[in-house]
Amino acid sequence: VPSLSTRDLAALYREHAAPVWNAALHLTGDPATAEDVLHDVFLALARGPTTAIATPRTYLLRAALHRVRDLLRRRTPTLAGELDALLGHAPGPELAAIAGERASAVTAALSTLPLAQREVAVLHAFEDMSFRAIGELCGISEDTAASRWRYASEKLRVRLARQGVES
Amino acid sequence: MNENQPVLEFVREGRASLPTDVDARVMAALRLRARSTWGRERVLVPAVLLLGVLVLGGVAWRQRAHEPAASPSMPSAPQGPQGQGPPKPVAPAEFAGELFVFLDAATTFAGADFVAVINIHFPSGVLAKDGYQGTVLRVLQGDAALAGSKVWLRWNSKPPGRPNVRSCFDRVDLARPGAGSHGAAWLMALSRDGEHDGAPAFHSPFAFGLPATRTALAPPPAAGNSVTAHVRSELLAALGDSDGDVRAQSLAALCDWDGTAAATPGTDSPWRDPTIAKQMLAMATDRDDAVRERLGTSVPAFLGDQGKKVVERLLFDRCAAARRSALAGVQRFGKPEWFAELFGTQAGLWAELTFAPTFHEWDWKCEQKAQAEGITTRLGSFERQMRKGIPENDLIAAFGFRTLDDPAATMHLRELLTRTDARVRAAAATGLVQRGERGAFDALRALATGDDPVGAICALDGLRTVQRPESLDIVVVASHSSSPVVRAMAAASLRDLQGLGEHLVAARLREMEQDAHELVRLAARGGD
Repeated sequence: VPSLSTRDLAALYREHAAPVWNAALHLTGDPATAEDVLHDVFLALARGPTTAIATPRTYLLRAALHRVRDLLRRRTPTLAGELDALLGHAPGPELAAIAGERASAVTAALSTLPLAQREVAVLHAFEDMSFRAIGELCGISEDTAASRWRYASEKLRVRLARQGVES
Repeated sequence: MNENQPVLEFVREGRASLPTDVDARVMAALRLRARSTWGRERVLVPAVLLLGVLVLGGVAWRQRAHEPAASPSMPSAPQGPQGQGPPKPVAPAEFAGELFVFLDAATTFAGADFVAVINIHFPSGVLAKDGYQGTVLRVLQGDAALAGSKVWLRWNSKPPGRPNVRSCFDRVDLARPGAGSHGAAWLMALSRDGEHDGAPAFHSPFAFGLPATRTALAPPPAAGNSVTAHVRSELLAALGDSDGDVRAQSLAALCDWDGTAAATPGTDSPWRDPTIAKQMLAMATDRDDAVRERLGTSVPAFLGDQGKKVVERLLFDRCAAARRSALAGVQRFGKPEWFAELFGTQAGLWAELTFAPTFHEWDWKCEQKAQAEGITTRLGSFERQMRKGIPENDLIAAFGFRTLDDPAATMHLRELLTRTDARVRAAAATGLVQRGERGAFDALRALATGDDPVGAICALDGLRTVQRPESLDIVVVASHSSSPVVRAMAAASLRDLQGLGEHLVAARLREMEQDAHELVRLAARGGD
């Protein structure tokens, strides 16, 4: 796979950095980790793509997804973190300051979902991807992607109803 | 309408835009990567990193690490000035071979093999309690391919369980598979004001190793180097920092680093600016002991009379550790006639125990030894020291008991008053008068006016801290001592107590300005 020129790399970064960071932020719930993901994805791209890039956005999102999975897998669970997850605590004020109140609220809601459902929700909502495309990106079937979205949206709907958002 | 549509809308409204500082940092890393990969000459301007912190990483080897002031351990008995600094120490046998060494990266990373300027992702890059992440911005020496690499800075929180002891960053790990700890480090790190609260000790303790890294060993960076200029300007600004450690470390860094440049003919150094020398003179009266202690060892010889004036002022400082460092510093300006007399009275262990950072280390060591024997309280730890019947252990115990608000500690201090070692009696008596036992002034009077200059100076050190009429009376008597060193220290003590009798102190100091001994005249003039 040929390396990218500096110009191509810059163009890709300009076009796709924001959505990659947004996806990483909502998948990890942590701006610092999202920055890590963005950094790693584009630095890896600078070293040379591992496969041919058919659709840059898909390529980058897939790379981000893999990076997020790696990071979350390595993250050592802490009692505080588990309690936060259990109680559905909102992320700290740092996130709201960096990403805004609304983004912070959405991240908090998404953080209550399992990662597999969160991935589908993020790709479907922010990238407007079809379940077929999501299935290809995540390595699952279209039906599985659709059912994960169904579960995710049901949980989110209950949560929002509880908070009075839906009404 | 799909029942999940509101959910979809809700999530979509949470789209976050990429923060500009994140964008700048990642772009910076990509630029560097591009430069190292394709050889493009692109220089990142640190100013664009709004939340960045500049770290100059480096091999830290400094002569200071081997100087007496940096690895203090001195004997209490007077010695001759044959050595190049204050005398070598007699530590309690229990602690032989493990005398306190500052937790500085200079020591930790002696022999490291690359120097890097690191742009810290901060504060969003705070990963955990023990680390910060950053990107190697520029490799000054070593493997240039490291540029753009991600690093973790590991926070060395040792000694464990001792929050009152400053820690430092002690390791830079490369975030590359198999890279592990590079064993390398940094030259300095400075955080901007906005980030200061997030890491209050970030750029002080570990700037300890700054100067004599390769910068001192190799030719200094070329004039006009933007990174060098930036670092220097940050260091200069840090001299006015509210954190005493920051002021002290930045000062040391500047002196060693720029001092190298300034001492090299033909180089352009800000130290040639006379305002800097004035700033150093002002720092000789800094409220923080650590700053004054650092100043004594840092003042570069090329400052000439200005530098000499700084260390001479510190020679009579209320902090024994600052006096000791000034004693090392004054030799850079030639060895004055009175040097030998002053040298012989510098009680090394006393200086360590009266200086908060080193006292904490002794405290911790005592506690560790005690815990090994199942003793879990600080009182018990110092009682254990006292039971050894060795003067140095008694001295540690006396200083320890002074920190405890416990009736048993007071009782032990009374017992220590009966010891033969003058330093132990001085420490115990000071502790007792600080607790309101006016009877202990008698012990201080006997010491301050006695024949043992070491005991007299220790007693004067204690009296300077107790603003009571008895203190002034004793110091005035001591100012007539036959020992010029004791008279000089008494003059300095009088200045600290002048609030108790301005006219009396002023008159006595005027008399002492006519003393036959130069050292006393110097002290009476306040080191000027």
